[in-house]
Amino acid sequence: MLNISNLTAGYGHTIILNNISLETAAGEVHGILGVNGAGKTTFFKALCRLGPSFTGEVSWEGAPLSPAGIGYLPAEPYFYPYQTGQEYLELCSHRSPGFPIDKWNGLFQLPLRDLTETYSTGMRKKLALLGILAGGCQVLLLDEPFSGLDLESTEILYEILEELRRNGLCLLLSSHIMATVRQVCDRASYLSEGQIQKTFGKDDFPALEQFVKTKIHDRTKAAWAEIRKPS
Amino acid sequence: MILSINSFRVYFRFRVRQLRRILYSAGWPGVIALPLLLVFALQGIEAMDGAPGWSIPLIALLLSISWHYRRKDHFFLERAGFPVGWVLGLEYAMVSTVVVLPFLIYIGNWLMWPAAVLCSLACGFLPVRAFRAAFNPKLNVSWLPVALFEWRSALRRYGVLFALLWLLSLTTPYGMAILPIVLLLWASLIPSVFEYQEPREVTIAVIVNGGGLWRHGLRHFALQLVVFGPGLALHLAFHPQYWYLALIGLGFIALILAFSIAYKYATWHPGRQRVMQSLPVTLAYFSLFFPLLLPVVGFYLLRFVKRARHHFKMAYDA
Repeated sequence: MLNISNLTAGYGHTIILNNISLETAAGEVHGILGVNGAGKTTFFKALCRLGPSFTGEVSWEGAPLSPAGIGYLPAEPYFYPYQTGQEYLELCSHRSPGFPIDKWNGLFQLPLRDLTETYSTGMRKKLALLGILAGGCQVLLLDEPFSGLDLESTEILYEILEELRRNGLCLLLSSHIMATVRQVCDRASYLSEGQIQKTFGKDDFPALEQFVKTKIHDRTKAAWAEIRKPS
Repeated sequence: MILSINSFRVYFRFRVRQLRRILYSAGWPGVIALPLLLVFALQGIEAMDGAPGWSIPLIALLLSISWHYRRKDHFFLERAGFPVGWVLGLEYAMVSTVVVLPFLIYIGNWLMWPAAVLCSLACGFLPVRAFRAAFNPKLNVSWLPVALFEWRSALRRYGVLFALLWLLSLTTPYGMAILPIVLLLWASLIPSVFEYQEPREVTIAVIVNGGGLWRHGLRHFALQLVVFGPGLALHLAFHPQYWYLALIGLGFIALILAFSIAYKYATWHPGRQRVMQSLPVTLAYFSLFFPLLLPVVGFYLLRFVKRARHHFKMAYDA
């Protein structure tokens, strides 16, 4: 069980996330939803200690979880320049020496002997995903994992997430796309104004969609009225 | 291209801010280093005693040309609509004026000042081809351990330079100063090996779970010993009485290696892939040729090691 308690994070004097608490079981995929700028990436970065100042407790199976034990897939992955995909995966699998790079690459068919500079956006995302799988962490944070992927890769990623869930990994995933949340997540939390407004179970996803639509509608009603006003 | 006063104003305001940030990053040790640099500058001026007048525009020209072909922002400035030739030329002219002013005062030949300005201005209009970041992107570097990924990448980018220096080290039998000079030049290239940050997965795998920063540094130093093994053996065989020169050269390599690695992780910032080059790195370069700067570099080294360890503690509980 991943337990996040009273997480508060921000940059300098600006608080972005305020007192967030979350529990996610092993073998569960938990979606984090929110509008742009809600703090989804800040949340993931705070867990990985990648910049935001952070207070709170993060534990896995009752013991404090070190950031080195968390795999993080950023929305825009980057790689060391002039490094091949093969080298990157060999480095990432340092602590899992038996990781079968070629077998996993059978899914994505990446040109691992080429430099990462030559990779497209989607290929970079796939390589970064293989990299965090090679790291062997029990907790994975996936920031917009489906963005930039083609149709085939999206289906493959569904299969991978299912496999990881079966292997007892704990996955936190952020997405804007309700269809992917419905497909892969067991639960989803809506993040807004620095806090988790509500958490929905799989059976309540229609209510989640309605909740999101209502929130948007309330906010945009006045703006549309202004736009439609005859000048 | 838009030729307007506003273009110059925007550009030079930006450059002044950059300069302020560089000076600020030096901190108070940089302030201590400034008088030392001034001493060396005055010695340089004294060395110009008796030099012909045309040496002043020559200094301005060399300074401007080397700067022009090292910078990488031409295409960005072009795309942003700046009148690149004029903006860069003016920048070179202003900086060259500051640099040659002491020489002009000392030599007294003020007619050379307009010549220096014109030479610098002209350099702004020199054509620049697209920057080729790597000489040998397909170079086979699989013989290097994968944990030394910085060297693998550096060889792909600057492999020719490193190879030339290494070959030069093998000519040690012809002169006792060859190996120390090669080691000094090699040390001056080392910061470019560590000019990029790696993604966290690689840091965790190679450093956090690979024995820590000290072990990572020792791995790099061990590589230097392996690379210069033949050169060291030749130096000791042909010039045994100058064994200490080889030791001094290795000492500089160790210092610059430690400095570069510590600086890289001390200035680590999430989302920033490039290590910022600034005054401390320049001071480290200069210390190779002006040993009087070594105490300042040593102080910076301790500061950066402390900061790097702090970052690792915060980011990885390591």
